[in-house]
Amino acid sequence: MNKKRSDYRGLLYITPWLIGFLVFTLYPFVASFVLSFTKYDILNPPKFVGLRNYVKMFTKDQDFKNSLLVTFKYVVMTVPLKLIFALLIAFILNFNLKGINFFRTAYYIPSILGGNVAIAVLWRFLFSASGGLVNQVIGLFGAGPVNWFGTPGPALFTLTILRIWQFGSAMVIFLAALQDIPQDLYDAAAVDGANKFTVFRKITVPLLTPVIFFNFVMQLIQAFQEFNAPYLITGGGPLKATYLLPVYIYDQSFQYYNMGYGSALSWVLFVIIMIFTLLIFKSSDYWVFYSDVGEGGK
Amino acid sequence: MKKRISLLLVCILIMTAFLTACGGDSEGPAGTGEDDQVEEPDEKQADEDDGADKEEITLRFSWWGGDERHEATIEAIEKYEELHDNVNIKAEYSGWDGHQEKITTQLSGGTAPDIMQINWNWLTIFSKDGEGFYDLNELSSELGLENFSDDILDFATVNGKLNGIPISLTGRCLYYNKTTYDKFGAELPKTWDDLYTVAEKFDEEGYYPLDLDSYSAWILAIVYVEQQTGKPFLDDAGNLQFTEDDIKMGLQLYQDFMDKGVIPGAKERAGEGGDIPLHELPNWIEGKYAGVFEWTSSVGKYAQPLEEKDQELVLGELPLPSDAKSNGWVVKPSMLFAINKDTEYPEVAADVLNFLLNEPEGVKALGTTRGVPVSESGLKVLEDEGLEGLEYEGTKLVLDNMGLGFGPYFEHTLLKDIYQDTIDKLGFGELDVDAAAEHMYESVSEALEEILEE
Repeated sequence: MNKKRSDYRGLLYITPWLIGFLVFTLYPFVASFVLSFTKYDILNPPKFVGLRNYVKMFTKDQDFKNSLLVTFKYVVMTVPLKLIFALLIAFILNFNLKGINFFRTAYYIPSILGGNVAIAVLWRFLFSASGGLVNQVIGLFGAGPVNWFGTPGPALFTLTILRIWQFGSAMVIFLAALQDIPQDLYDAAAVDGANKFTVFRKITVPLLTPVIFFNFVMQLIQAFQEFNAPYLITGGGPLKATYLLPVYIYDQSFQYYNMGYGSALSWVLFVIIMIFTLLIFKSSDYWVFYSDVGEGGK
Repeated sequence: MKKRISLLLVCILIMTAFLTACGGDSEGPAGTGEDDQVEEPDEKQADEDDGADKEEITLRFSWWGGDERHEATIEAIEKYEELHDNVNIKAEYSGWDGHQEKITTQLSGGTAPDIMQINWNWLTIFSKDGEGFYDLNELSSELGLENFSDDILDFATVNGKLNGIPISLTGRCLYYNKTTYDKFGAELPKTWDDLYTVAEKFDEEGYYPLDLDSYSAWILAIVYVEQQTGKPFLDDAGNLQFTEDDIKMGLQLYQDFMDKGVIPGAKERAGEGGDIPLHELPNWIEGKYAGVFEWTSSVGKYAQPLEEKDQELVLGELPLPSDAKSNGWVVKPSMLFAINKDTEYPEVAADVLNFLLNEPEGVKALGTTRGVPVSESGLKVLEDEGLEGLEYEGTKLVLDNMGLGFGPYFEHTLLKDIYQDTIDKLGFGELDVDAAAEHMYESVSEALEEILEE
């Protein structure tokens, strides 16, 4: 009786969340799966077409192939760089320096700004070919001006830089984890005569692996879902070199009104993210160290 | 025990509140029918009372645009409400981005506003059979349709049903930065060859007599080809009239323009700032890109930054060879007003539109924020007020030179992306003219099949 009552109460407490979840997450989730087997232009009722959307995607659709490739490039470039960068800055900000709180805040700000329109405008001007700040700076070192937005490779690179610049949230998590590392381990290492680099490699990194793992998964998922930057800054160009899969999904769904095909694309993206996340989870046995389990790894 | 029951009751209350809310939503379109019945007696009574105690009417009116248009429209609405104190108009306005998505959702969910400003090509999306919007022929006296010529209403007629009223017409015109042309001592181009001659005179690095984004480039190419062949690119039913060779001729023009410095190359252009529109580009504002091929209704935003830098934008001529088979001008309605087919008050909605488009007070309040009016009485009102400027000049030129027409399918998003994609590939040197022509011909044919099949 007592147990039952607390069950009801628990449910009652989470009702607001439950409603939100059912209406805004579960329903669209299921609906998009069903729609992915239909031809649906929003205005007319969906028509069941079986696997046609998926077959078309993998056999005929050049844009899909291109977008997939671009998305992989983007993820491979951004995720490791962003993690390394966030860890590095967190490491520096972990020292007890004067005015450290100011710097901690300052480095977090880009993350709050997110991929909004103002940042997009700023980015366009920074990387503009004639007179952009970036070209002026590299000009000081004697490098010729780069046509950032006019050349496929560099255009994708500008978006990568934007993502890495927004390292704040990953950094904050790293910072918290760094502060959790017991001081006595460092003291013991110092007594044994270990230098800074060895301490970092042998103590800091292993103890951070659970957090690295967490950040890795989160960043990977977010990178696969990036939409704002390519949509706002480059519009997917030049020559679709920054046409990430989420932008293509948007175009199919809301520009061409192929809701069914857009849903199918979303599900393929979902499965891709799922596979990568599972792979990382599997691999975590070999490189993630939980201090309470005892000897490294398992 | 008592506690438990009260807890359960709260639970149930919340759930039912939620369920009814949901139910209410999904019943939206059907529900309006019920409302009709309830309100009908009132309406009759109002008629009997001869307007002494009129029914309160609320209409929703949506449009997209910039601040200037928002302010003018709200002012016009207030004027209308002053004259009709039983009518309350709820304005729903936003910028262009996202507006089409919003209307799509509203139309499919049955919650669309009573009066909508719509884009011309939406007719091909929302009203393929002419049933998507209210047939305005039924409201011709309320709307004052006698102010609109048949040519103009034809643009908005689908399957014999008038789906909207064109507010203004717009056409592509060439506008040049006269300040830059004077600097190089160049005359404004009058023929296609003049463009090449001018390009030679522009001998300073980074200066070009004209700029074309990929979509404008394709439209100008079509103008060129139509003058040679006398055929439109697409007919009104959406059939491709150009052959692969015709397309090649158009793409060759673009290639020549780039090779001979009439326009900046695609690479150079993109490098200036990703997806920035031309009128925000420093190269435009500083007068380096000294010409634009733009809709007359959009020229204002190009002229303004130049004015601020003491430069002058002037209307140019569209090149027209003496043996041309058609003049090639591209004209379309810039936007239309439509009435929701499920509206409860079609007559009142029509009366509002009549006020905005034909009656002096409404027309004056709106000014040219939606382009130069095509309504005869509307235009006269504004002309008496002293209408002038680049847009007006351009529109007059276009109206005197209506070309082969442009077809409502031309601007279909799917096709637009193909034009841009092809021009970009050509501009970036990924395809040569032959390959690009083949690519465009095949992609357009394939896309048209898909579009028309639906």
